[in-house]
Parts: sequence; C-alpha cells; structure tokens
Amino acid sequence: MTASVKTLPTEMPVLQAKEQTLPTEMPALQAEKQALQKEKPVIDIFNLHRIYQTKAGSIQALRGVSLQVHRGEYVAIMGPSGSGKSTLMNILGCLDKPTSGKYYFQGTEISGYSADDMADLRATRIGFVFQSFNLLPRTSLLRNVMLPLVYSACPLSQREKRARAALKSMGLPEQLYSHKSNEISGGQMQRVAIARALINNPALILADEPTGNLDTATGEMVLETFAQLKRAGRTIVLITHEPDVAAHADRILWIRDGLILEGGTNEA
Amino acid sequence: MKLRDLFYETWFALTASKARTLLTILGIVIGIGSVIAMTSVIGGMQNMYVNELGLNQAQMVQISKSNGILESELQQLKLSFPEYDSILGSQLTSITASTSAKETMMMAVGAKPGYANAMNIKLSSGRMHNDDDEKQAARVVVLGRGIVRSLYGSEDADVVGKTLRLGNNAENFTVIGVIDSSPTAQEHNQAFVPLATSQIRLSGSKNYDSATGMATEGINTIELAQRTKAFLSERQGNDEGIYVYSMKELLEQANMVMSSFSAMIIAIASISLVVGGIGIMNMMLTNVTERTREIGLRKSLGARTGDVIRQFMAESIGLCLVGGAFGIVFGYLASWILAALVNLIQSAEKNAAQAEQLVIGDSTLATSAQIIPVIEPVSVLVAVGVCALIGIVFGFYPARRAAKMDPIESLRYQ
Ligand SMILES: Nc1ncnc2c1ncn2[C@@H]1O[C@H](COP(=O)(O)OP(=O)(O)OP(=O)(O)O)[C@@H](O)[C@H]1O
Ligand SMILES: [Mg+2]
Repeated sequence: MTASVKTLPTEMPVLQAKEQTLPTEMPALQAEKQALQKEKPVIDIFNLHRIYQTKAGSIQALRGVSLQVHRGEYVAIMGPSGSGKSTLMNILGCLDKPTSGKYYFQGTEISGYSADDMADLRATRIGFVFQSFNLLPRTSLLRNVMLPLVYSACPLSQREKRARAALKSMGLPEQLYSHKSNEISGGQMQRVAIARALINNPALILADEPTGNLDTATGEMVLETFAQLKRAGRTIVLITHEPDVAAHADRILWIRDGLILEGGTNEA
Repeated sequence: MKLRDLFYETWFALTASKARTLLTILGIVIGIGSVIAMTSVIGGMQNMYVNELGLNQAQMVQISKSNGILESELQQLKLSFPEYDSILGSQLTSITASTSAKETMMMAVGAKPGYANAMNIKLSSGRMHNDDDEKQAARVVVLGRGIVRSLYGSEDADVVGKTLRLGNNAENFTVIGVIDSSPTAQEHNQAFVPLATSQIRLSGSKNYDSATGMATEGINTIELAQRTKAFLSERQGNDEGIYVYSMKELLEQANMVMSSFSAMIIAIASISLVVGGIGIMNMMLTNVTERTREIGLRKSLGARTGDVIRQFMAESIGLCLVGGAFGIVFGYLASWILAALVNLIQSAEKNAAQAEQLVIGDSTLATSAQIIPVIEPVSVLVAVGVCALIGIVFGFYPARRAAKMDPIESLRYQ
C-alpha cells in the first residue's frame, strides 16, 4: 500500500447519517458543494479499454469508457447483458486492470499498483455488494461482517464493536448476530453483506445487481438501505438492468457494447 | 492478517469436518506413532540396562571356562593384570531345595561376601553371608524371591530363620536373607551361599565356574577382556570353552542391535509419513477447489497473496500437528504394549534357559528387569518439528494454488 493512499482522509462513520437532503439549499450547503467539486473525484477514469484474450479471439469488453464519480454521488449503471457492466465494475473495484486507459482512484493513478497494493486498496477503501451475497456459510453474521477487518489491520478489540454497529445500522435485530449466515432470509443476507461492505468505512461502495436474487419487496428494502447510505454521504456505484432500481440513483449511465451512451441526472 | 485470525481460521477449518480431518491425518498418526513407540521402548531398554548394571558395572569383565577356573589361575590373573581392582570367582551349582512340604530345582551361587555387592544385588530382608560364615563354611543361604514362592507359597513369606534342605546330601541350611529381586531378574530363582559352603557341601569341587573382574575406572574394558582371553587361551593351549566378555562390549552390541532396529523403523515411518503428507496435500487441494468462492470473496475483501498462502499453510500445518499429537499419544500407548511383549518374551526365554540348567555365566546381561517405556522430550520435539515440516512441504503447493486464483473467476465459480 502506498503512502499517498494511506494519508487520504477517511469519511464519516457509518452511523452518522448526515441529513443533507433538505428541500431548500442553504448557503452553507452550497459552499460545501463547491468544495466537493474542487476535491478530487472518488472515481476518475479516462478512455478505458478492456480486451479479453480468449482462444476464440479477442473480445473488446470496454472500448474507451470515461467517467467521473464524486464523493457522495449515487450512480447507477444500466445496460443489456454482455454490454460490459461487470467488466467496468471489476476495474472500478480494483479487482481487474484495464488493458489501456487511466484510472485515478481518489486522485491517485493506480495502473502501477501491484496485486497486493490493489488488495490493500480493496481492504480499506472499497466495499463490495454482490448479487449472490457471498456470505461464508456456517459462519455467524458477526464473523461475516468482521471478515474485511481481518485484512485491514483492524485491532482485535475493535472488531466486534464495529461489526455490531454496522449490523445495527442495517436494521438487523441483535438476536440474529450470532446466527449462522445460512439461517436467515435472502433480504437479511443482503443487508449483512451491505454491513460487511460498510465495516471499513470505504470511500466507494460497489454493488453488482444487489437485488438480482431478491423478490420485489425485499429488493425495495435493500434499495431503501442504499438510499439511506446515499443520504449519509456515501459514494455508491450500482449495476442493474431494472429501471426501477436505477430510479433511486442520482445519475444513470447507459452502457452498450463497451461504451457509455448517455449520462442523465435523476432528480427525484 | 493477525496470528489470532490464523488460529481461528485453522481451528474453524479443522473442526468443520472432523471425520475428514481424522481420516486425512491417519498416515501421519501411524508414522509418528511408530517412531514414538520405538524410541520409547528403546529408551526404556537403555534405561533398564543402566539401572540393572549400575554405573560401576560398565567396568565389569565376565570370565568363564567350561572346565572351571582354578584359584591359582585367578591369582595369576590378578598378578598379570593390575588393571583389575578385584576378581571374584563364583560357583554355580544346580541343586534341589526342599522343605517338609515342597521341593524345587535352583541355582546355588557360591561366592565370597563382596560378590553380591559387586553384582548390585540388594536384600529385601535379612542379611548376606559374611566372612564368619565363609570361614566356617556355614550352612546359611540367601534366597531369591522366586524360590521363596516355590517353597513357601508366597514371595513375601517371612522366611528368615527357617530351615530347608539343600543339595545331594540334603543338609539343613538356615535362611538368613531374601534378595529383593524382580520376577525377570536372574537372581530371582537363585540362592546365594558362602563360597566355602558351596565348595564343600554342594559342588564338591574347588573350581570356579566363572569369575567377575572389576577394572579400575578409566580402563578400556573391551581391550582388557581381549587380553584376558588371550592370556587364558595361551595357558590352556587353545581357546575352547573360554568366554571373556566386557559388559561394555555387550552393552555396545545391544546398542548396535537397537540402533539398526530403530533405523529400520525410522525408514518404515518415513515412508508412511511421506504417504501421509501426500494425503494431506490431496486433502488440501480438494479443500482449495471446494472453497474457490470463499477464496475469491476473501481476495475481493482485501486478502493479499500472502494472507491466502498463510491461511492454507496454517491449515495444512495444523492438520499435521493434530496428526502428530495423536501419533505421540498412540505411540506412547503402543510402546507400553510393545514393552510388555518384550518383557514377556524375555522372561519366557530366561525361564527356558534356567529350566535347561544352562550355565549362565555369559548371559549375565540377559535382561533381568522390566522395560519401562520412556518418552523423551527430545523425541516429542522432533516429532512436532517433523509434522510441521510435512505440513509446510505438502501444504505449500495447494496454498500457492489458492493464492494464485483470480478473484473474479473464483467468485463466479459454482
Ligand atoms: N473473463 C472473461 N473472458 C472473456 N470474455 C469475457 C470475460 N468476462 C466477460 N467477457 C466478455 O466481455 C463482455 C462483457 O461482459 P460483462 O460480464 O462485463 O457483461 P455484463 O454487462 O456484466 O453482462 P450481464 O448483464 O449479463 O452481467 C461479454 O461479451 C463477455 O462475454
Ligand atoms: Mg454482469
């Protein structure tokens, strides 16, 4: 992990929901917005390409994608199957590297990062929410939520406290915390997964089809959770192909054949 | 990843499927168990020899001649070999002993008073014969506990002061002491009488059957025994029926037999440890494949290559150490069974030898005590080290395979 990333300021704690979505914009708030604009974006990618080499030939999954996501933004990425959404998400999440193009994460260009540097970045700055939850089976909710702390040098004494706080912020009843992850409902599982994504107080939350495995009602609950996180000032990038889901976001990006088509704001 | 995390993960993984864990470590258990069993028994044997012989007995040279040793020969030996502090002759006569109720065959050892001391023989009651008894060729006898049992029903019978009849003339002897012998000890079925008594009343001969020389501390008894034999052979004209052994030589021979035996066991154990290690590797590879998604998840949550390697290495080392722990326990239990078997065989052999009334002059070393297995801290440490090493060697490849997995691919793995 490089020093430049380490010294970046960490955001506010999970629970401190800063209610800033007031109907009238006060001058103080406008000043903050301006400050935000000057601050380096969380995500700043430029002309990103990703080419997969397969036996059948090379596949251009991304063909020159540029994108900026600022702190506190909630962005939805939509597009048909095979359009390159997951490919883009993997690169944004530092799980994959682009074939060409630049990726500035919180102002730092990361193309020179080693696998372990990227692992450190994921451990401390990025929270993932997956379609299939990816909780460890036969393991308690607390243990599941604590898992990222194992890799981010968090002192043992703080771990359980933080995990409890994260689970609580997801509205999960306390008597469930010591249950095994395979003993709860799908909606609860996804909220545990979100708690896990939040535990390290990440600069960026990435969610790939987080409601894909849930029915509409539970999906709504999970989306409401994301909305709350947005109101608390979190930066969120969410992939979906359901317009209802995308409707919650500030901004929707359309991606097709590896290119971003249009970006629209989505003021509710 | 902190050490405690590693311990937790390892514990969790090993206890998740206990039956599988136990089956996997079987090879290690057998390998370590057999080495521990053998080293404990061998350690017990060595202890036994040291206890039985005592330290001074390493200086002992055992001399026997089939046609007997004359007193004059003994004197000449003493003169020619100042390396001996003392040479004590003894007579061994097979005789009948009887009370009014019972009768038994036994070996009567006729020797001067210092002999019992030199042979490290202790009494449980009464006294040894002394110089007065020797002068008077007194009819006194010290019995081994085995004979006490044969004649009086119980080893613990209070027999000091009782009278029994010994030898061809069935003369009355008084029991003055009982030897504190263990059942497998040679003196268990022997009786000790003054030399003069043996010569006059039991064997009717002046000759010794064997002699025991005590060399001065620091003398090479192996070489001394060779020179002694050469001396006796020259006097006789040939070396027929002349046996001269140093206890040290016998000890070394026994040690050599034991170490070649243990080399064989170690070879067998090594094979089973390698097979066990391959079993561990196989299990770990299966494990890694089964837990592909978990590995993908851990990596996406920020596990470094080293974290994944450490986690799986810790698991395979943990497996091996559990195997080692079971192996040490089972090995130690097995060593008691083995020792019991060896003890049984030895006492059977000895009984057979005594039943045939063999002259035992040159078999003094034949074990006369029980083997008690000893588990040395060193062998436990070595076992633990070997297990850890197996875990490292056979765990590395699966662990590296896990660490090399691509997080995106492994998260998609079904
Ligand atoms: N590991 C890979 N190797 C080769 N080709 C790949 C790989 N991953 C993705 N692709 C290809 O890249 C293109 C984009 O895939 P991607 O998974 O990003 O699509 P997506 O938008 O996430 O689709 P979906 O909505 O079905 O999840 C597809 O044509 C896909 O076949
Ligand atoms: Mg996808």
